[in-house]
Amino acid sequence: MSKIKCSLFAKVTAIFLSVLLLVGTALSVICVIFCGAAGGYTGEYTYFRNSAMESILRAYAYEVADAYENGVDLAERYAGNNFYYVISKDGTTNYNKEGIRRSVTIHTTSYVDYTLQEDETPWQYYNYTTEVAPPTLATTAVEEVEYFIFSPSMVTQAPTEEDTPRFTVEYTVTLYEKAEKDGDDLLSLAEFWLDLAYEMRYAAILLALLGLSLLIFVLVFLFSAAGHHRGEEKANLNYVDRIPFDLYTAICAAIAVGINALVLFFLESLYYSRYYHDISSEFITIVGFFAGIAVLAVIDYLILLGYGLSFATRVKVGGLIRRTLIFRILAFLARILAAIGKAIWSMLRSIPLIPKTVLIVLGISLIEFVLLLANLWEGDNLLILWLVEKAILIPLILWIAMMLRKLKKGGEAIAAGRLQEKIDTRRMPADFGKFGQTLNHIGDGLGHAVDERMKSERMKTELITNVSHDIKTPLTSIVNYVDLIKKEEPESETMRQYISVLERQAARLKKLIEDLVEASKASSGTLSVEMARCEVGVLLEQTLGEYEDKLTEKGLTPVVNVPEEPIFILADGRRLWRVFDNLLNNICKYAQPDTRVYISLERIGHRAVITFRNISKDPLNISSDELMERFVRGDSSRNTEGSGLGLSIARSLTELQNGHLALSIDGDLFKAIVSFETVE
Amino acid sequence: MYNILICDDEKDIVSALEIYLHAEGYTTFAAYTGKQALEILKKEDIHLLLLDIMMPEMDGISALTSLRAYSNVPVILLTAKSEDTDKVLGLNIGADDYVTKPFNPVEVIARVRSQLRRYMQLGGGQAPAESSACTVGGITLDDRAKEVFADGEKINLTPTEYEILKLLMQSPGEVFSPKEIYRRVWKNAPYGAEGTVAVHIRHLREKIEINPAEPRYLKVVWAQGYKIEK
Repeated sequence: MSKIKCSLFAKVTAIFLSVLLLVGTALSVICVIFCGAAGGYTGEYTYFRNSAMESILRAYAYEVADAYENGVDLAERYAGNNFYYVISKDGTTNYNKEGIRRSVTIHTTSYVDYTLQEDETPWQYYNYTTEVAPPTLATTAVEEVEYFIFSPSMVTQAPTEEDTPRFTVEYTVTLYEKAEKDGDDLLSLAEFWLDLAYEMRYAAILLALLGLSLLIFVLVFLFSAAGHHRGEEKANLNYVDRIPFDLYTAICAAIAVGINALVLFFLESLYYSRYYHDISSEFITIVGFFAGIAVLAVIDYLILLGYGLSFATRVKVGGLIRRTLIFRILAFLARILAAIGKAIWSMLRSIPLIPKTVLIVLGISLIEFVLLLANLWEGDNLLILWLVEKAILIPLILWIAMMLRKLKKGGEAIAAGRLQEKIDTRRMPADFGKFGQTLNHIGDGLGHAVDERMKSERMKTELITNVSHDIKTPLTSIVNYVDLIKKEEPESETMRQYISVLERQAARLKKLIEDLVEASKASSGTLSVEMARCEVGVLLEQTLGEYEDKLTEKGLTPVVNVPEEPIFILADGRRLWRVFDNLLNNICKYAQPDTRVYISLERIGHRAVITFRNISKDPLNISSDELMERFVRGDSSRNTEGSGLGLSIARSLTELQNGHLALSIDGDLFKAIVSFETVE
Repeated sequence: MYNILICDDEKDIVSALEIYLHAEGYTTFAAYTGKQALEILKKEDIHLLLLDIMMPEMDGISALTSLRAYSNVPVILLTAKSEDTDKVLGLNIGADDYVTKPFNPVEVIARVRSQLRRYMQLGGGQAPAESSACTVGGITLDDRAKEVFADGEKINLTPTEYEILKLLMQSPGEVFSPKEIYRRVWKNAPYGAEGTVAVHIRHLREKIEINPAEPRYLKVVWAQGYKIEK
């Protein structure tokens, strides 16, 4: 199929075929319509034929009457025709000749003008009634005389032709159709076609339907093949299709109108010419007339087909609208306008911000001023102009405000640490766009720095973890061998003292390493937290249970204040235990012995607040912020156990679980406040 | 007595452990890589393996994996890694227990003894057939005699501790909140008195666990309650 689509020969053949089919179908349709209208399907043949022939004879009869009035030599003119004629003024229609098939009689009226004689004067007709014999039709009886009156006042000049008297003449023309057609005229032609049409009246229906369906098939093929050429995958435009569509439409219309006008003018003159030529050419004239109509129809069809096929190709290739002249002109104009706008814009952009603002405000003021001045003369358009100005300015100001909001949001995002959020600067002109981009760059730079920081933190953690592993192995040997020495039960008391120092310091070293690893992991966020709904009261009880002996050992009395109703938070129970563990451990180490330790849990707004309060053993001449720093301890001597990492770990772990740890020092009163958002 | 294989790339640690284990009357074998350990295991009748994780040639994890293909000899891992994930990995591939470095020699001996008792006396992990006793892991509770054994060793408990342990052992794996434990054991409404539960639990843990800070059986589920590990 695609091969046939591309074949030029197939297309030409199809076009030719479609013309043939069109003509055939048209003839068949005309035949069917004619037979239907003239009773070919309902009456007998005679009735069908006669009704048609009668109308032709009647047309001839009027023509004969016309010719008779004009004084044409009838015998000579209608010698070649297939009828006899009788003209009478008394209504006689008898004609006793053989070979007559049928007759048509018409009664007709004619006007005859009276011609003024040279010696006659118009006023002779004043109030005068007369019978005037028509000068040229001597044989015709005058049946009526027109009365015409000239008023004396009107008589200022000789009467014109219009003023001449008119006579009405009535007479009868009867035509008799010859049974044997021996001449070529409309009758013989009609008889041939009538016979043919009657013969074909049923076949014509079939032919019409067949022709129509074949025609549609051929047209479908032509339209689907339109634009396809040999050796090309898709539909393509040929040189005709490249003509802009609107221009092409105009050309086609012009050609069609031109050809139609020309042919119709020619046919019209041909039609009337048969009055002025001798009768021998009449038949050719008539045949020529019909042939002309047919040829014109075919030409119109071909123009329409060509236009349609080109249209189909354009639709297939696409860009029907784009390939019009009007579109191109509009696009060209739009480009010019855009270029002008761009030039103005770039000029505006190169001006610094403040002068630009001044310039814009001045420009607006100038326009307002000019319009105001104009209104002093014109009067009452001021309100409308004011409204128009506001209608333009308000969206503009809103637009600027919206861009400012975007920039503000971007700035806030950076301030809040959401560095991934970027300001969309695509639709921001000039200075706004530049500002937005600058903000984005700041965000990028900060993000980069933060990433670097995180990376180095992680590397540090990794290093600490690895080093601590390596330290642990020799430490194991130290612990073990110190224990073995102890087992040897040395005699000297000093020896035993030294061994206990070694033991204590080894334990401290172990604790230090473990805390160090935990602190670095907690602060760099490499620790995993599994958040779940936790009841804080239960955790506090569990923690206190763990610490009861240790507290008692130091003479510390816990005073616990936990509300009756349970308070839930979102946290990782294991990590939160480590927080409380560290805080209580701190209390055991640094609280003044034989004092009370206050531990309370309360709900303040939407937060669960856990407070640990104790009296410090040593004076705390250090700020709470410093206390939270790594390796900082309340006692400067560093001699007691502990790594100085407890509070730092506690804070990092709390923050990992989205909680908050605050320390407060009030004289000797030390307070650690842990708070979390509550959940239901 | 029993044959114990010690495998660690650090020779001082191996000899220290040998000294302690000899003192307890065990026979020891030393290996310094995973490969050596596997060779000795094939040749000798070993009853327990102390295995370091980080070693050259073949590390503890791969040695343990290949060992478990043919033997269920008790294995205690010696590890410098204190990460929870490392412990879980070790237990998952078939270790029976673990000790983190730097370890306390007394703790190691206790764990060795406990593992050997379970392995040898209870017949290599086979469940005991006593009907009146309830056993979870290494803990056996005989309700008729009101006696508790941890790894075969009799434990002396107070009546309250005994009741708490009984409650927890009746449904292993289930987490009991302090309030629930108080209500079931004291048979009283827990009006703020459930704080004592935590103290009792800690005492109980100190009695039945080798290292109460890292319990194997009686576990603390922080912010929720307590349970006996299945």
